[in-house]
Amino acid sequence: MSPEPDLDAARRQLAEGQEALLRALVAAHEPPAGFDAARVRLAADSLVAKRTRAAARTWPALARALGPSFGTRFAAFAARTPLPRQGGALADGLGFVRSLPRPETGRLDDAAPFERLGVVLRYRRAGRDGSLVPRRGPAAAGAWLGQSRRWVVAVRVPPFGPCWLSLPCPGRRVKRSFGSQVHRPDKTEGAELHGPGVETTERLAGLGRDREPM
Amino acid sequence: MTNNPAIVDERPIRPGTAPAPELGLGIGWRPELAWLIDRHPGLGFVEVIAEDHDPRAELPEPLERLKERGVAIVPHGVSLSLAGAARPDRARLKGLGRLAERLGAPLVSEHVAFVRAGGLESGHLLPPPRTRAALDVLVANVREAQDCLPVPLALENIATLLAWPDPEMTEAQFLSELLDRTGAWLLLDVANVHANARNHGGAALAFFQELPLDRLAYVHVAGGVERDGVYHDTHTAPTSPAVLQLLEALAAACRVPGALLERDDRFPPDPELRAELESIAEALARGASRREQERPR
Repeated sequence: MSPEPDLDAARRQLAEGQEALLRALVAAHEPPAGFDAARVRLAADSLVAKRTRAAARTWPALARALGPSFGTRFAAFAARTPLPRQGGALADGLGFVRSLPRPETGRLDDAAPFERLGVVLRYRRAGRDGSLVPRRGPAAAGAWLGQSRRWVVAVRVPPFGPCWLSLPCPGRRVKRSFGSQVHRPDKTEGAELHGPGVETTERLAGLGRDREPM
Repeated sequence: MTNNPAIVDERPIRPGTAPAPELGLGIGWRPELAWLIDRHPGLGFVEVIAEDHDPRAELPEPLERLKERGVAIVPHGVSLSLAGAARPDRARLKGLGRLAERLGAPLVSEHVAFVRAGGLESGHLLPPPRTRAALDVLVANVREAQDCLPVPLALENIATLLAWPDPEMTEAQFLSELLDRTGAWLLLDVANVHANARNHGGAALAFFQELPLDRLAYVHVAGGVERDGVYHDTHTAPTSPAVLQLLEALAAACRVPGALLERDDRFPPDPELRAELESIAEALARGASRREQERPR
């Protein structure tokens, strides 16, 4: 038996209509015929507002570090960047961080690069649209903490949590305790997370956090 | 078009599934609310956003504790896009099913909505056109999901700012026929009914009366904000008196197996949230007692 040709036709017709509406909502195309243009604009604005709120919740340290400018800057980013297919607000926020100019990210409060490091250690990019999926294997990453002028290098070997090595920038505020800050992922230390951003990175257990199911 | 035998699924119309289990009072589980939920003795169930939890990873400790306490945990999907043109994604369906098994969930829920099309993600629940053809696609997608899921599926009405041109059915007709043809349970979002009545006209109470309320699994309530004459269902404010009145009216009309508060942001102090849960329980109790009095003897 043929696989229900009418249903296939219905799917094709539906796909066309839904795609046209979505282009109007997320890619600034003209609203499809018959729609109230003002309502489509309102819905498009509310989609950006929702993305912004979700990103602020999922990236609390980043939102705090950027302060009141987070909302307007993320909204501008969201208006020109489609939402990644996988990873929800976590992937969306990472795309936003990557879009920030480097001198600026270097000046952010330490908790923000730590937060990013926590995400990069647990998730890997999938595809060119900035999608994120959970990592199953080991990962290593580094970040510059502009506030305390340190490099931090982190390794995560599942099922253990990440361990961190913090390196002060030579020439400034070198601490004697340098060597003692090395943590190895053995069975006693492995599950510990060190440094600022502990609470925030631990909260990022889930992907997406696409809330507000309206 | 539905009379065309080629488009009608060969399987018989699924008869009404068994009545939904008693769930009681619930709240949407969010990390920000974990502490309150852990200490609230009156909760019968919580909902977790399915996409927030990796079904292959360990469950967060607070959820394990809830499971041990006997609080039912219902995975609530937001990305299956059942009302989309494409068939539901097998990997997402399997993930949802696996999570339901991990949680020991009595059911899962999803929306009558599409979230992606043409390679674009909306990040939001969008309404399908209310046409016969779109309903046929939706029914086929829901049946496919039901076949893949280990537990019953409840479907939720969404709030929307948009209206497709030339609808062939009312929203209540569309939902009723969907539930009749699939045997799915109903997750009735009372706040969404209120929102749509405000934004598109129509009477919320009349909407209830048109639905097969014997299929009700549970209800959602939440608060929203009104801006420039448009109601936005943001889940960032306390549930309004109007929504509580609707909940009471619903409880006066039918058995409400469960009622769940959704709060996603601007979390209030715990006492306020506990008081809001209390007011939901009271509205349900008032409705139930009206129903008891009005029942013919």
